[in-house]
Amino acid sequence: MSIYRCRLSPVIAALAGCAGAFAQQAGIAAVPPDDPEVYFGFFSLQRAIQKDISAAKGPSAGAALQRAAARHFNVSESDFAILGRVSNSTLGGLSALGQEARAYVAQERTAGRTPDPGRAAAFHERRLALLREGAGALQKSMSPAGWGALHSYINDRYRSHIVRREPTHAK
Amino acid sequence: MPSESEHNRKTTVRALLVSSQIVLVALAWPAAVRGQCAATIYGGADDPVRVDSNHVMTEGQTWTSDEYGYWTPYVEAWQEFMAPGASSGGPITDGEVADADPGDTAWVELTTILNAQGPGTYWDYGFHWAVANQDYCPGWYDEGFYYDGPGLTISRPTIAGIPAFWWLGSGVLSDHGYYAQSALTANPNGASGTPSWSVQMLETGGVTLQCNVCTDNVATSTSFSCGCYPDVTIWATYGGFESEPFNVTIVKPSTLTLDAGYPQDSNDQDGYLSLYQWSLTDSCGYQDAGLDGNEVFGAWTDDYFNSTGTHNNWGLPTAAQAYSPTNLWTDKIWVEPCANGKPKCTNPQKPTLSTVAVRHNTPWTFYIGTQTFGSGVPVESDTQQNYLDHGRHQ
Repeated sequence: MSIYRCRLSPVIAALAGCAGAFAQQAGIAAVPPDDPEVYFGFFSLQRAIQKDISAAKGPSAGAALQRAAARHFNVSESDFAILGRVSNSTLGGLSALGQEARAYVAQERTAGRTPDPGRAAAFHERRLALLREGAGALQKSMSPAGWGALHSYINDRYRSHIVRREPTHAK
Repeated sequence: MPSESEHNRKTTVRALLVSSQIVLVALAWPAAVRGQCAATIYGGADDPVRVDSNHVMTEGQTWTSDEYGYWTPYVEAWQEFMAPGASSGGPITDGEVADADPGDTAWVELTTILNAQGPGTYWDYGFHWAVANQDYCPGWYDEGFYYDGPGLTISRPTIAGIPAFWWLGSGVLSDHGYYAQSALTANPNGASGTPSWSVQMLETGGVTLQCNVCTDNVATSTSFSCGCYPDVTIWATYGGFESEPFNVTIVKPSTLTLDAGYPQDSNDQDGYLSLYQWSLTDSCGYQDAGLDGNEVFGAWTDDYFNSTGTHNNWGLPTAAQAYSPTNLWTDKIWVEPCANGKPKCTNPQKPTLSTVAVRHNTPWTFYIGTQTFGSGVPVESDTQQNYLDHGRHQ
């Protein structure tokens, strides 16, 4: 295994050609624009922030963190609240889908059958559809300015710092 | 902070674990489940979050596109830091490892107190990987990858204002453009809230601040610096994150230097006029023009009575105050007319001045900074002596 680690700062790394240090690791690729999976990562980020806000010591600390988070994503606090609700709703839908998929696999396994590749593809399409619906719900519920800022953040800023790789199989 | 060797060791252990999985399950691979197992691994880091004025949080996350619960995501993350001006940075936390249920996101958040760590660039550095359930996905593996997240550069708040101002004496706030105060403004540089102000006085310099919790402040000198270097430091602190120190030098008018050719003695009617001229400089050695000044006489002693038993009857002078457009200051010691004087004054004698002392006052003190008698900064204090035919500061 050869893993390259760039020890420079991101800024210096960019200048030194290390930005995308991941690119020198086998199989790593950038995530394309509007990839639904970026929304999954972002919704997960929201849920983690909501937990941090709930766990903050005292209401004022929680409120301060909420303000900081809203500022971080360039949205109003009311839009940030919508973001939290949509994130939880979408992740809840995905959790239910996962349970359904796992139950199907378990059922097939118990019956001694191999899961149907067509069903697998259908589950995956439903996952992507749920993520797209989540993005659509944000666009529909948030203020136009808030959605504009958030969409730009997710699809440009946040996406640029997420990479992906396909696992391999030993042959 | 993990050492490089420790870091490499962790990486090696991880690699061995993955490799062993491959060897154990490679022969048992059923090709039919390839479709369900071919998830995509995602990993990275969002921009660091300035949680509040004094804390920065970085995060690293890993997830997969797996709906079936085959893949368990993992992340190990460090918070890294590079000081301003440095060419490279390194970890300031231990690596923290997290996993998550399949289908969920593995997540590590790391928070640093900014005041302790200081200004610089902060970012997440993470190792992201996922492990396949070998019962369902035998032979599948992910070797993981490292990723440097985006950086957030933090600067300390700063204070803007004039770092050198004057001590003009107790209660004197200004004198013809010389100010004993400085308006200060705190610049949060990304911090939030209203700052708390504090002062540290190292030697003799001192200031008072107009307010303790405010953005705009006024510092007023209460004494002067010891020499011409800053010995007062002011901070504006936002939620525990201190500003860069604002160093203050408090300058004062300090020295009268007798100019060459002085004193000059001349006839004044039947008496005399002794003229002094000094140059004023401040505690930084600069000449200070355009200030007010005043003189105060001390107690008078009748030297003539002490030496002859007869009291002198010379009239006492009146203290003077003035504004000088230059840095030159003069004092005139004169006595006239002398027709009825006891003793009788004379014109300056030549070639040798008289040694008969008539009276003196001490301390004679000269103040700069105001025309109010006895206020300002004392720059000269001596004995003013009247002789029969001349006067002297000595």
